[in-house]
Amino acid sequence: MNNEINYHQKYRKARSKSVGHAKKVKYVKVKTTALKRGALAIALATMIAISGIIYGGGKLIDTIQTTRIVYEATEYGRNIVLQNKKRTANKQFFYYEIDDIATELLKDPENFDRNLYGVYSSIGYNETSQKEQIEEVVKSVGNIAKLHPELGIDSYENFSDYCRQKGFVKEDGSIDYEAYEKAMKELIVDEMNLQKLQEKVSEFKTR
Amino acid sequence: MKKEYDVVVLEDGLEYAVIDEITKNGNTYVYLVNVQDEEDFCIRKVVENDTEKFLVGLSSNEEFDEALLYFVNKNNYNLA
Repeated sequence: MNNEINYHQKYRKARSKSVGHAKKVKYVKVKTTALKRGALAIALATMIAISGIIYGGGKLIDTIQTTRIVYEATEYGRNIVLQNKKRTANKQFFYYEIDDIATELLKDPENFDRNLYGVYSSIGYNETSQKEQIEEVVKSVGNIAKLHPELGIDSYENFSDYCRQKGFVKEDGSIDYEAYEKAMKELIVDEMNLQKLQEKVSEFKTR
Repeated sequence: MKKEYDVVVLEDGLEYAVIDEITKNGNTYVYLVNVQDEEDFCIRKVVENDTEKFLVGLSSNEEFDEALLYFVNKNNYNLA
């Protein structure tokens, strides 16, 4: 039991040191070093013990399966970003063709929310850039949607407006990005499970 | 001959050895162990802009769990 408490503490410490957008240092290798005798084995054993004791196998496997499902389901959105990420003429910087991303998103209105999440999860080179770019993408989508109501996409002013209309807002009125991300992952997994069920029913009926 | 590990310095001013890098789902995770305390570790991910690479904090507790799992799986420990 004492060991378990100890590992809980180590887990919380490691997580606290790992998570948070404010943590940022240049990835510069200052030197190389040999670890103390047995140090690597202790480090590995600690990580493995933590993961096993805190979660157990089932939860861990669920977590990684969700990640895989979401990654595959958002491929379309991620590819839109990749194809519309362009270099400046001097090759020093890159930028996004926002209107082209918006146009591509509107080609599949039925899966708009899922594809938008794919764009959200891959655009920008840091959190600030990500938020700025996705605001512009949804603004552009809104402008196009106004001209083409037959697409059935609501005309959002920007990404913040999209989140507000979907209810991803904190008590202080700011956008709750974590709630948005969590809800999208759940939606994608639910959609996949629903699709599997529909296929199962269809297969049964055609026997 | 002992294996040499790259060392980086984090915000706390301490030196950490890079014991592994794993790329999954478009993210590259870096596994770091405090050179002075092998039970003190953390995970960061690599973000690049046009000219530089950065080690940044993970987005959520869930991402930390996922990254930890990638590491455990890579080291052939089957928890299922």
